[in-house]
Amino acid sequence: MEREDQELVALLLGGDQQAFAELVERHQRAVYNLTYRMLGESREAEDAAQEAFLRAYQHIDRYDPERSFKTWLLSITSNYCIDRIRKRRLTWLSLDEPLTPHPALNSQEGKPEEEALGNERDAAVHAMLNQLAPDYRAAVILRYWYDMSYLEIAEMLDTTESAIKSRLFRARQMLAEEARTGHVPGMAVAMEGA
Amino acid sequence: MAHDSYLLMISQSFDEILPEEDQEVLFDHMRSCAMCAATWTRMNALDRVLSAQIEVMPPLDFTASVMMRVSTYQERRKWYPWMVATLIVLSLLAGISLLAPTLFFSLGLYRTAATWPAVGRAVAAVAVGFADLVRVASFLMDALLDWLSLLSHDPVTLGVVVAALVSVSTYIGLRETLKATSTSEAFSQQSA
Repeated sequence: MEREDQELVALLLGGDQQAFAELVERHQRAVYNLTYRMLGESREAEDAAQEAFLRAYQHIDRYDPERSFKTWLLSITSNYCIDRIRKRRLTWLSLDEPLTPHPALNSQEGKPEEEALGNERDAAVHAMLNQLAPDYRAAVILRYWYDMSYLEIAEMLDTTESAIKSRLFRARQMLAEEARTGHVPGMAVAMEGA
Repeated sequence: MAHDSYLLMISQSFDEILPEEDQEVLFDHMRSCAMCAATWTRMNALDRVLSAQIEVMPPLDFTASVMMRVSTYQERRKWYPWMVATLIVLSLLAGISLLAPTLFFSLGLYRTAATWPAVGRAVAAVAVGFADLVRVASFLMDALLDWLSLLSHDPVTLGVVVAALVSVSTYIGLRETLKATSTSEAFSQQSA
């Protein structure tokens, strides 16, 4: 029978490293998808996801068993990604070089048409999300991919429900405006296909 | 009602938190407002694109990589108590080395210490050692100045020295390049 997350955390606090490996195995997809959506690049996403798990391990004694472990873990992950994007912007803003295209756009040769279209749509979504400030991006991702309520997102991002409501509204407004002006490559195609 | 309020209502309707009566107000407004209707259409398309995203899979060795990071972290953590102890000892030593001379002179302890024969001998030995050191340094400085003066007055010697330096640095550069090339070849052969 599958053990509860809280039970695994208790085992980990008792020194059982295998319990942590089981927690990683169980939540790796959720964490990896969040880092991938936030950062938009698979290698960086993998590194960030590993770092998020390491941070969870380091602060496991601060975990409140009354809360969902997954929510706590995703909260660490999203806040880490927000910090990472902010740091990355500080480093990159001074460069005038064009951004490298998403890897999905580089490797379409020999793939079925449907997969290529999926990659194109995926790249367009990343390009759309890249237009948003990191905390807006986190709110959109948690709302759409994790189907979280305003309250859950607010708790995760350490803010208020009304702030989340406002972030989602502003994010949608910005994205709709981008769609209207057609500044984001591939966005119009992605939205036509929807 | 201002347009922004309707736009907020549109956003809330996609999150399914807009009360039914407000929903009716919104749809009534959109029938007469082309701008809000167009925004609703765009946000609706956006909503569908974002909701239809597929899940990406982490690499197969993801758990192993995380556990490797955890074990590296634990290895490093083993040294923390030693690092803290070393820092404490170093801080204490720094404190003593700052405080001791200050107390020695401010409390007048040096007067008492000067009357001890052993201290007198130690001070004399230090003074002699210091004088020897100054003599050696001054000799080396004179030799260096003589050498520089010779170079500045004799172009042939200067040329010989510059040529020797250039040859030695070229030799070292070539040797390092050859070493780097052979390492990268061995690596690419291994990878192949």
